[in-house]
Amino acid sequence: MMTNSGACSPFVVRDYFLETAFELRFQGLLRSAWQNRTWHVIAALPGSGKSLGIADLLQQSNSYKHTRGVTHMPVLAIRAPKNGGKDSALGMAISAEFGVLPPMSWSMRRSWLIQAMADVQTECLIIDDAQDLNLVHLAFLKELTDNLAAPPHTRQIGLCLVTAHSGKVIPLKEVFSQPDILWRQFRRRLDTERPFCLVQGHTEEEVRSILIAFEDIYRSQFPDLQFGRWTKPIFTWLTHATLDPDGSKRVTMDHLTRLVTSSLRQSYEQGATDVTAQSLTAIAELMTLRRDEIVAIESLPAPLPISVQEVR
Amino acid sequence: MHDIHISDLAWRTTFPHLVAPLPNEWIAGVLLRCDERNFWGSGTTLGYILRPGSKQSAMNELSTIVPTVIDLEMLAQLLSVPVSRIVATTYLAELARLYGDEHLHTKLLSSSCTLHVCPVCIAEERKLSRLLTLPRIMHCPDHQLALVSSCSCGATLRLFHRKSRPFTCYKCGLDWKNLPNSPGDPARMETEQQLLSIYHFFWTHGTPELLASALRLIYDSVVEKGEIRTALLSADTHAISDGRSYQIATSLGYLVHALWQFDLSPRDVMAYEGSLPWRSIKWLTFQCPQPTCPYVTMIRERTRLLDQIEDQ
Repeated sequence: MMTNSGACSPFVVRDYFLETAFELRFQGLLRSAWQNRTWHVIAALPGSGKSLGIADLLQQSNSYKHTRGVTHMPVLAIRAPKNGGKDSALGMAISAEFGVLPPMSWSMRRSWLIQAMADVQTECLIIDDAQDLNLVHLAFLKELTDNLAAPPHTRQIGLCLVTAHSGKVIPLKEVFSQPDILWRQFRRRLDTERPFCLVQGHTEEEVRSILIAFEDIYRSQFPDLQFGRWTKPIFTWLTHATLDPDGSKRVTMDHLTRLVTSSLRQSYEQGATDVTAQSLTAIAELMTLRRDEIVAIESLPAPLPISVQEVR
Repeated sequence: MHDIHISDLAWRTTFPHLVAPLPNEWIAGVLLRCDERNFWGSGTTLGYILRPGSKQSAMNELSTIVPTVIDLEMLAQLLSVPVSRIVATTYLAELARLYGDEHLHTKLLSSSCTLHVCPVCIAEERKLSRLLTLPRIMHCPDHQLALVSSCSCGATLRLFHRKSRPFTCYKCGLDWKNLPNSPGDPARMETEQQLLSIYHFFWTHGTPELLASALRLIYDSVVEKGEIRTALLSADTHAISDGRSYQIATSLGYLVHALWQFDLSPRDVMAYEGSLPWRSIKWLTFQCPQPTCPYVTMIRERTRLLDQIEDQ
């Protein structure tokens, strides 16, 4: 085994956004909703990279505040308010995306929001963690989008309710199937062809291309890194029933990144220039077979890198 | 001055829509334009940037000329402009230089002030000019129109009123741009032009020494002409909350008016600057017995400087 001469410095995790196959599928849907002003419920497994994908799309959305008064925000993305709450909680979350707002009553904020969204030319509203939305929130969303669609604004906007799911159940699907007028109206606004979408994780081949990308990313710390050759065992480990309880045979980015960074860290600390089979196996076992193992903390932490002086 | 991208931290610390101060704009106009651009009621921005303990009503008393109630740094951050540009919408810097005092008060400029606007300035740029806040200025120097202080409905114009839209009459809702345009009196406008040039002189060259020189010159002129055409010590003496009192006689508004009344120019003021050892006799008629009089040399030097300034 080659030894890593640069291993005296600490291992550095590279937090890059990778345009993975999942992200291409997920962002493709978001872009389609933005372009065609369509409404979708988009579900994916927790840890797939939904929030990162939304943040990346937002970065590329050409949103700006011009110092001479023009603000452009074609994509407005928020995270659904937690613990239920009133419609004002959702309104506050949306209006906070504009920047600093002076205190105002909810009735004023309600009408301000419509005017502001029309003025900044919002074309698509993305709500992450939409499974946390309650019925009051959804009713407010309908009111908001209806007001934007009506004169004088006549602005149709796309809506993406991005949810985390488990199993075959897609959150909100059941709500929109209810017979109440409100939900029938909501259901009618959803896209005809793809109202409820489930964005799948990575296949084995897609995992391989991600591992090859990781080789490039960590090349400076691992000159001999060849992650691609471990594709098959990694895919097998990460589709273990513990990590893939629905048996989708797909890998989430969160699991993959954890396995990669932990095994790289361990290999690095051993002075290796490539990821070692032992570290990969050990981490995979930790993530699957020993996932719920309780770790007893007995030893003292390593000494701090800075000297501590007694204060007199 | 650059656009703020959504990934920039400043996005979260600025108002939804930004406004940049216009040349020679008055801070009250900036606040109203900010309200209007952000779809807020008149005075909303002001309410947000008031210093703790300050009352919004203070602004309607026109202390905005020297806006001690406003947190200028906060406003600069919310609009993403340098503080210096916000300060330039007041006469703070100029008055501080002129009076050499950090604790400035609006009474240093004028004992009282009326809100009056130029309808064309508002129609063209939604602009309230800083010049229009100066004492005895009743015409717009740009449009040669008489300034308007009350609405067609008879209501006196008020800068901020929470229940009205910015730049509108709080009673009838008429936009100030639709106020009647009355041509100005040519003679009066010529006088105001002279007053403005004296103000300009103090703003650009003002120091405490120059102020003292101007006061001395006025005093000497009174003595020389043997008549008091303007009350030097007025009964209109205002006690300020901190116990200090500002007499109308020392306000710049008074000073400028007195200089104009005595037909004294900035050149005369400059010539009087310094600790000249005589009083009541103009330097032009002074006969010095010394063969190389130091004062003549000094006066020549000053005259040369004045000529240079005029050439510029």
